[in-house]
Amino acid sequence: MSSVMKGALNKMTIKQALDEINATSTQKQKCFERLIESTQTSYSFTSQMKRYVAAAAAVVVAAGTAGVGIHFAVTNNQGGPINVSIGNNSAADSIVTPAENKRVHSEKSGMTFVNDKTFWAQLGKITYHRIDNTPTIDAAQINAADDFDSLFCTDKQVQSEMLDLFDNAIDITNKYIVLTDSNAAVGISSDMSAQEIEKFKNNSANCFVGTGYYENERFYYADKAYFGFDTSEEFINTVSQVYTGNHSDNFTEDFYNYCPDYIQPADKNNIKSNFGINIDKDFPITELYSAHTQYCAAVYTDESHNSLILLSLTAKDGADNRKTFELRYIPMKYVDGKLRIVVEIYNTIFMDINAFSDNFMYNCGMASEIESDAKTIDITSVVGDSDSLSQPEETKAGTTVSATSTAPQTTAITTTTTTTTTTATTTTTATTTTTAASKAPTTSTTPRPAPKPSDTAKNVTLRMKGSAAYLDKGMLLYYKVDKAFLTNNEVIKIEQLKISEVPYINTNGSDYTFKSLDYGTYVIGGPMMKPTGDNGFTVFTVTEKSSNSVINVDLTNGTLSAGKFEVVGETNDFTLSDLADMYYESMEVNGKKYELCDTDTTDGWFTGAVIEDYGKGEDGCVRKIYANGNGNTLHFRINNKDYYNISDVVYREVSFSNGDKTIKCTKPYVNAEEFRKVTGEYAEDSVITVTQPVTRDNYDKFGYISIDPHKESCFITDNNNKPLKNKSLSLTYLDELDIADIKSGKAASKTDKYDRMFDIISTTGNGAVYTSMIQKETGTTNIYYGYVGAYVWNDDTDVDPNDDNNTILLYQVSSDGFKNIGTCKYGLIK
Amino acid sequence: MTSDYSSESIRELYERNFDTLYRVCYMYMKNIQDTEDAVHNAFLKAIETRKQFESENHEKAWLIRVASNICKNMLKAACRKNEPLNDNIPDSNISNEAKELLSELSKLPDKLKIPVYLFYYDGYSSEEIGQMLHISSSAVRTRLQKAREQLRNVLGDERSVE
Repeated sequence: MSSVMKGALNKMTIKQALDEINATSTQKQKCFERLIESTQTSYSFTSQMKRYVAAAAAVVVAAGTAGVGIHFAVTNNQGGPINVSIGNNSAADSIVTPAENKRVHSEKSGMTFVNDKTFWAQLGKITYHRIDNTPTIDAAQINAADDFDSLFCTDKQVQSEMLDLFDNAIDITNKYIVLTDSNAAVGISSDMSAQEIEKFKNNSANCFVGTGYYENERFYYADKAYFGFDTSEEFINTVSQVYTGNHSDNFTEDFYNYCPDYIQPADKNNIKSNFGINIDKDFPITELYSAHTQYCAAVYTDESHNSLILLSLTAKDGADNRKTFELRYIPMKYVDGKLRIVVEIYNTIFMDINAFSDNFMYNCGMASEIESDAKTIDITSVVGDSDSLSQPEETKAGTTVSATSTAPQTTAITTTTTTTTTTATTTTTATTTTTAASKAPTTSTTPRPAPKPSDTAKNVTLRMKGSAAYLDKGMLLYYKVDKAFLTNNEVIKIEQLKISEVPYINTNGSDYTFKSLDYGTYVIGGPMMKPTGDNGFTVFTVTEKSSNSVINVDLTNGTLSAGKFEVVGETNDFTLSDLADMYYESMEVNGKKYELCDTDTTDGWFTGAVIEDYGKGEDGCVRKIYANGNGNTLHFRINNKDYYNISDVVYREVSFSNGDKTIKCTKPYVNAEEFRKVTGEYAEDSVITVTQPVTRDNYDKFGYISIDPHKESCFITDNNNKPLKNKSLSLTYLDELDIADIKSGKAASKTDKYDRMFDIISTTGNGAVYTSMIQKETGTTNIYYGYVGAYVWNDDTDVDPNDDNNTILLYQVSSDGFKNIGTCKYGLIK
Repeated sequence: MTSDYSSESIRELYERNFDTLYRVCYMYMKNIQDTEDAVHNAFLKAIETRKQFESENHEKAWLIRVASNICKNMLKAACRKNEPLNDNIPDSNISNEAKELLSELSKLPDKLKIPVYLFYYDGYSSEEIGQMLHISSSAVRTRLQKAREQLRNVLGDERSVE
C-alpha cells in the first residue's frame, strides 16, 4: 500500500468504511422477493445442493415381531434400479448383494434390534418438556470448511463432493459439544474405569443416534445387514453406482425412486402400509412425528479410522404430509469392527421436536441432569443388550419420572439387563392433560427401584501440588486399581491406542472436583500414564469419608513404582497420506519428510507447520506438531481428547488456543513426553500459534541501543568480564533459536532474514561503545535488543576473520547494554 | 421466538438482519452478486431449518455465523474449481479509501473479522459479543487486539482501526 493511501486511510474508520457497504432499496427488495420465492419452491431441501455422489437409502423399520424390515434401494449409473431389501418387505425387489434378504433382527456383533412393538408404542407416547439449550448447540456450530477438512475418505473425489454437500446443505452442529453431565445422562461417568467404559461401549455398539441439532433426531441402528455396507470402501463402491450427476432439481423425485417402497405409498398413493412399524397404519400418518417415523439413511464410515462422519439422508413423513429430506452428519467411530455411537458428545437425545413446535414433544428423550425438566430413557437398556428383548417391556424403556414437574430429581436407573446406570434429572409433563406440577404424567412408567446403597463419594476435590508442568493446565490421567496392586508384582499395560480411554482430569492449575467418584484406590499419572514425580506414581484413596472433602495429592511424591504402568503398542495408524487434502507442500524434519499443513487458506492463516500423527486412541489422535523456522500459525482442528506435543520448537512460544483457553508451551525443546491431552475445553476449532522467532525485523518492537559516533553509548566486555578496549567488533544478529542451537552444539539455524556481520562497532580506551562503522558518517545507528554474535578484530595478528574456529562472543542486547552470555565458534553462526 | 416463518415473519427476520448480513458477507465476497447469494442462502437456511432463536441477538449471532460459513464455503468451492477469487473491491459506490480498508478487513481471519464488525460497526460491547459468539469477553478483547495489530501492521496508524 502506498504511503499516500495510508494517509488517506488514516482518516477513515472501520465504521465509516462499512457504512459504505449498502444495498440499495431496490436491491434489498429484490433479494427479499428472491428469498420468498425460494422458500416457497424449496422449503424442504437445500437448493444449493448441486451434485450428489453419495447417497443410499436404507430403512430400518422396527415394529411387531413379524414386521421388521429394511430396504436398501439405489439406482445405478445406467439408470436402472439396484434394489436391496432386507426383511419381510413384500415390496422389495432384491437384486444385489451385499445385503441379502433376511430378517433385520440381528443378534450378531452384540447388536440388538428392538422389535418390541410395545416398547415403540410406549416410546411414542412419552412427552417431554422442551429442553432449551440452544445457546450451547449454537456455540458449537461448526463450519465444514474449517473443521471437516480431515474427512477421511478413501476416495478424495468423494471427499470433495461430500465437503461440498456438507458445506452447502447442512448445519453442522454439536460434534464438539461436550457437556459435563452428558455422560451421566447416558449412564457413563468420567471416572469409570477403562474396562467399564469399554463395557459400556460394547453395550452401545451398533446404535447411533441422531444429531444434536434440534430437529429430527432419530434412533438409528447401524449394521451391515441393514445398510449393505459398513466400510467406506463398500459404501463408495455402492454409491458410485447410484448417483452420477443428478441435478438437485430432480433429486426429490429421484429420491423417491431410491426410497423404500413403503415410503412411496405413504406419500404418493396414500395406502396402508403392510410392513414395518407402520404396519396396518393408515396413510398418511395422522399422528405427528413419533417414534414410528421412519427414515432413510446413507452412511459413510471408514473402518480404518476412528473419526467418522455419517451422512444421513432422512426421509420423513408426518401429519403435515410434508416430505422432507435432510442431510445430516453424525459422528461415529468404528471400534473393533462395530459402529459406535459417540455418546458423550450429546446431552440430549430425542426423536423429534420440530413437529411439535408448540409443546415440543420429545418422543424419545434423553437429557443431561443439568436440565431440570427432562425425562430420561435409558437407551442402553434398549439398544445395548439383546437380552432386553426378552424382558418385560417396562424394563426396557427404563423410563422414570419424577413426582413433580418442578423439582429436579436425580434418579439412578438400573436396568435389569445391563449394569449401565443412567443418571438424569427427570421431569415430565403430559402434552395436554397433565399440566399441573403435582400431576403424574400419563406416560406409563417403571416403578422406581429401591436405590442401591451408595458406593460413590460425591464432590471429591483433589488438591494437587507438584510440577507446574502438570498443574498448570496439564492433564492428568487416573486409574482405579485394586489395593493389592500397590504391593504386588502386577504391571498394568495400556495399549497406546487406548490411552485416551483412561479417564483424565484437566488440572488447569487449580483444584479438580469429581462430582462423583467410586470408592477405591486410584493411581494418578501424567500424559501417557507417566509418573508425575521422580519417585513414581502418586496414589490416592476414595472412601465414604471423601464426599464433600478435599484430598491432598502431592504429584511429586510418588509411592508407586513407575514401572507399574506400561503403555504399549505401535501407534502410527494415522498417516499423513490420510490427510492428503490438507497438505500441499512438504518439509523435512529430522530427516523425515512431512507435508506442510494449510488448512485454512481463505483465512490467511499462516502456513508452515506440520502435524505428525503420532498415534491414536479410540477417542482421539496423538499428534506431534512441527514448526519450521518460518511458521508461525497453524490453524486446524483439535479433536476432543487428542494428545498434542510440540516438537522441534525451540525457544518459541507455542500455544493452543480455543476461545480464551490457551495452553502455552514456552519451554525450549519441549520434550516428546510432554503430550498434552486436549479436553473439551480445547476442542472444536483451535489454533496453534508458534510465535515468530525474534529476528531483526521485529527487534525494534522491543527496543534498541542507539550508538552515537559522538558519544559513548555503553560498555562492552569480553567473556571474562574484561572491558574490550580499543577494539572493533563485527556484529551479527542472532535470535533465540540460534542461541538455543548454539547451546546445544548445533549450528545456528539462521535464515536469510538475519544480517551477517552487519555492522562493526568500535570501543574506546575504556571499553565504551562509541561508534559504528556503517553509521559513522551519517549519524546514530541502532543495535536492536535481542542477541548478537561479535567477532573481535585483532589488529595485531593476521587471522582470517572467516576462519570457522574464530571465537565469537555472544551477547544479549537489552536496555542494560551488552551482556556477555558466552562464546562459540564462528563456524556455528556463519 | 417463533420458528415457523410466515411471510411476515420472514420479512421481519429479513429487515432485522439484512444490513448486517450484507456487510458481513461483503467483507468475504467483495462483490455484490456473491454477497447477495450468500445473504440469500443464510436467510434460506434459517427459514428452512425453522431455527428457533431465543432473542434477536441470538438470531443475529446465528445468522452471522451461518453467513460467514456460507461465504467461506463459497470461496472454498471457488478455489476447488480453480475459479479466480476477486481480491479487490470493485463496486463503484464505495470510495477508494473504504475499498482499501475493507480489503484489509476482509483479509482478517474469521475469528477476528466478526468481532471487529460487531464491535466497531454494530457497537456491541466485548461482553455482548462474547455472549453472541459464545466466547469469553476476554477472548473477544484478545481477538480485537489481534485484529488491531494486524490492521496496524498494514495500515500503519492507530486511527485506522478506530
